[in-house]
Amino acid sequence: MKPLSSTYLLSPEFQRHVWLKFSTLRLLAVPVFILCACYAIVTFYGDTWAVELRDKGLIIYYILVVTWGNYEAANVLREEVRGNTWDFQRMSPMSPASMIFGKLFGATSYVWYAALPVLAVSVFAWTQIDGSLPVYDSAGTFMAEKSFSPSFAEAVYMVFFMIVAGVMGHALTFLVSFEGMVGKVHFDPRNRQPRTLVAFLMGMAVSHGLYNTLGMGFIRSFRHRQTSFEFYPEISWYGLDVATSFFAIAGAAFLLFWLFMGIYRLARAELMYSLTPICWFLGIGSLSLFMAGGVYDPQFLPDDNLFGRYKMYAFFFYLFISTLGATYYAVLSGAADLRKYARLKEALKQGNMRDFFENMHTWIASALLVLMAYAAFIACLLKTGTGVDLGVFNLRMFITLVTSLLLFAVRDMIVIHLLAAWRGERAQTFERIAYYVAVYFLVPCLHISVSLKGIINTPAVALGLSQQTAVFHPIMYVGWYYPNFFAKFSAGLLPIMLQVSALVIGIVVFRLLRLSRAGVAA
Amino acid sequence: MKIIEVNHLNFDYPGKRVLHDVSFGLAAGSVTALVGPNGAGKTTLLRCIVGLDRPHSGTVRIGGVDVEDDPRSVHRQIGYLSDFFGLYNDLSVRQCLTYMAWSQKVAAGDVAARVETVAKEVQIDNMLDRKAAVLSRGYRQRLGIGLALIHDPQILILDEPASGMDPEARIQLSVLVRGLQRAGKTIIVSSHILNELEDYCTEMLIIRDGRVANHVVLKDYETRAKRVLKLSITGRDDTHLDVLQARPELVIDHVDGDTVTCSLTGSNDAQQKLLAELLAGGMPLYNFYAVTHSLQEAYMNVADVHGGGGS
Repeated sequence: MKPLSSTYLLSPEFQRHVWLKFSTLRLLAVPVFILCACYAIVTFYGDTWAVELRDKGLIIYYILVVTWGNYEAANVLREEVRGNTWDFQRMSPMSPASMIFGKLFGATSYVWYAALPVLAVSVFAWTQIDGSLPVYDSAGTFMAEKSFSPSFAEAVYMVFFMIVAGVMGHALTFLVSFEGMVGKVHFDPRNRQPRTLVAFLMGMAVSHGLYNTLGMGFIRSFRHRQTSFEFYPEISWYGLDVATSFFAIAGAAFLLFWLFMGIYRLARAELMYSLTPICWFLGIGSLSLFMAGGVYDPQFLPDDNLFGRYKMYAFFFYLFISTLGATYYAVLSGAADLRKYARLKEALKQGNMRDFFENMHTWIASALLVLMAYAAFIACLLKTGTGVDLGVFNLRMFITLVTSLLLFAVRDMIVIHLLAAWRGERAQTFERIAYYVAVYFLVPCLHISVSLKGIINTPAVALGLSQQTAVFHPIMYVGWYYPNFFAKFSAGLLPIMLQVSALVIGIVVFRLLRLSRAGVAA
Repeated sequence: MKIIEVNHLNFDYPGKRVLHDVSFGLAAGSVTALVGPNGAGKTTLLRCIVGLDRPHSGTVRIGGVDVEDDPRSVHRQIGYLSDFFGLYNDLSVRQCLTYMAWSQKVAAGDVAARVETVAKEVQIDNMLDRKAAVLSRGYRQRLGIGLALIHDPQILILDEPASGMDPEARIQLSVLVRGLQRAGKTIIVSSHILNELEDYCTEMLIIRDGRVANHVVLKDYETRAKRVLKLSITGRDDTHLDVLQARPELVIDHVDGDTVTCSLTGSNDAQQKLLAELLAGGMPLYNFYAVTHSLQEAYMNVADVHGGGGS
């Protein structure tokens, strides 16, 4: 056999996938299948061939891109880790960009090789639909939308979002799968596995959603010879009226940028480049601001306008809750690496700011955003809350709600760290589940059972299986067990403040005791 | 000059310290046997050296560069074959080597030649167009070593490289390692089968319970340690034994017919001097030789195997 070509196609990793996936048989299979399918459909359906070819082509496209593509994207890392080839890659000088491009588009290369011609055939068929042709569904209903062909711009738009549905879903699948592995850098490397099933399901959900709403939804909106963009020509974003089509494209580009940036940063971490949490900070910040743009509306800001006031509250509340959610997730996924705190402390002692930022957990960066959003929300409340009487939705209620949410998150984060310190970083899944079940289900259930019945008289009552108890209505006791919006400080904030204080005091006492024991031993 | 310097390295797996204050230095051009029982921390130490695992504290410097500070530049100097390495089974051997050459940024014009050279070096050139999946265990090991060598690294780290190899392949591995040593490469070979390492190691680093139990430069060991001599004397009688017993550096261990087994404390010079003086004294020797120390003996002598601690 002759030596191989001296250069690779796009990236070494992409070329490797091309070698793996493109045998001569597989190369020929796609055009042969498409030609046979087209011939069969045109022959079988006669006059309505164009409509049938379009619809059946899009179903095949769905199977290829939404299911198979996400499956490939979910498995690409698992194959690498299971095959014990990942260390070779981690030690290679391949750039993160080259690696992720090769992995993501290499793994799905054959899927695209098959799907893009299918999509092209579908769109071609769509453009060939004769408007004079009546089309009926199986129930005999006239399907007007099927009898119109799109303009060139409409066809391009549909193709764009069909492709985005695939790329975005695959990228999300890859990101979630990768994150499941990179978040465990402190584990025994041989035990690290990427997240596969969750990644696949999440990616598929996104692909399906985009395919269905922006791709097929676009076609369906031809029912009345009016696209969805003609129904909703503009979207208000931060008070700007933006053309819906432009917003959809720009939004997709923005989300894709952050998806790829996320994957890129994970690849950098795995390839042992130095990394600070600044990208996480910017990503969470800009994604929150982007999403919140639909809520913010400067037209409704006058002090005496109740609607405007609530829109403003909603804007800050959205920022608060989205950054808090991201921070909570960051704690769950990575904060168990307690060694990073030791390194962080050491870097701070030495005044080494590079090491300090490199060893900073991502949750610390996004916690800053949470505090900023919290402060902005409270400031907004204090500034506008003295206006009209807001009735039951008063100032205290909002303050209590956001503060209790914050404190509940703080309590859980402290416990997650304590579990890491107590049980080590690996064996935490069971402990975490036990904690959540205990604090958010068992304890409230038992308490409410006892409180309402006065006595636990049957096992069914004790386990909360009896409808006679109120165990499935723990919202009645929200102040103790769940974040709540009771106006009363005593019900809403005091319990969780006590819990957090008890945890903090417990930790301080434990450390002091340990220090004194160490002193005695010395 | 020490090309690999490890200082006060500590490494933890959750709830367990695997490496305790490990420090040592390895000279450029040395071939070091990293030995120790299973679970001693050999693989973890190697992974820290190549930067795949991040230690809790301590430093590893390769060619003066701190691995933690700049792992990427260190990787260019290192070829690493892990104990549980994998291959891309659906690719041919040539494709595997070519892919790795591209990944390691071997210049495009040199890739094909480099693939051929490495294939010859690890003696897998007759298998270039076979799929990796169909290779025997020995050939897979050779291909693994080839992948580690493809970018011509200065330092080669092999974790259990001879595992699964047949005797012939092990001999070929010895030849390969000696050849690489002659080419000036620094090599660390981890194994718990000492016979594998005997042929080519110049140093021995013994790891036990995550600590360096001993670090022996084998050449020094050969010159300094006790050696066992076997002397065959024509018509051996008690006068001959008296002559031998009179020498302070010599202890008679065993007498069997004409053959006397004794221990000599000293270097090659001491051995040479003893032979010269015995012959000059008229001792009718017809055989005189030192029993070669195996690496295993050296290991048993220095590792305090039964005591469990370092010497």
